[in-house]
Amino acid sequence: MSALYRSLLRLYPRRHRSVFASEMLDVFRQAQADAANRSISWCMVFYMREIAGLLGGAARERLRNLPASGDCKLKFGGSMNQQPRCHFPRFAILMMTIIFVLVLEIIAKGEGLSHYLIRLSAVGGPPLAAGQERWNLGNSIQHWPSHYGLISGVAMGFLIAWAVGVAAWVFAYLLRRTGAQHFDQTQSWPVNH
Amino acid sequence: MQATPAITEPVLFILLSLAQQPRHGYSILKDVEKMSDGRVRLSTGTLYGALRRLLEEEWIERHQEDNTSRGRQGYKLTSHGRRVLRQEVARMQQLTRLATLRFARREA
Repeated sequence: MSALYRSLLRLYPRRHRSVFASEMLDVFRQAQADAANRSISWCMVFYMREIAGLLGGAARERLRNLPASGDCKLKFGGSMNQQPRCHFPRFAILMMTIIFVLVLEIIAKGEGLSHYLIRLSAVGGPPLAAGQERWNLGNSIQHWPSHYGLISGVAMGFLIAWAVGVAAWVFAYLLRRTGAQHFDQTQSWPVNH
Repeated sequence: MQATPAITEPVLFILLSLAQQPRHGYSILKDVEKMSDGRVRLSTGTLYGALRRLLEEEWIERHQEDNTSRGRQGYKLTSHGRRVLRQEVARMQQLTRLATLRFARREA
């Protein structure tokens, strides 16, 4: 269980881990030893509470580290002033990718279901039980191209949004690497003392 | 001036636990459980999230325990933290008095 606890600690931001991780693990081991002397149900509740506490705590710490909307100043057409603390978190890229894959999966399932229903109505479908009515899906076949277009459109929209997000992050990252955020501090005219 | 963050029940128990004496993490867990008669049981994630916030607000500070061979990290209330705790307790006393008065008038 300590190994699981240690691996869940990795969900915390690095700064929090460097300060508190060993201490948290130490306290967890003491509490675990205490819980081991009690009933099995007590132990189960203890482990559930610890896991929930770690997941919630890690989420709170991650959210806390996100920059506030007013912190990022990127001016186009004038001076460019990107604050050092303004960055797109890598964690968000991971979350965006996971959400994107999930959306694609749901769309694929939906398409599969549509195909199944169309085929079912075309071949007459499986034998019906007594008193059961067969669905009339004749109209669905006629409407299929518009449904298909809508699903493809949503998928394309997500794909474009994801690509734009990643491109923006890469752009901001490269700008930061070049030190462009310090351009407005550069003086290109002689200064009279 | 920075606004005082809301004091939740777990945070209040942690502050009360440290008001008596400096304590390390596990000792705080046990003391909170004891003070609340087992009603409030903190997970380590909740405890260290609260401790991090309290350290940032400078309501508590780190305290090295000398009497243990392990040199465990302890925490103690700062004077600012003690003042905040007193204010919070006074606010709760006032609230309790008001509630008692209102109940007494209703029942009279």
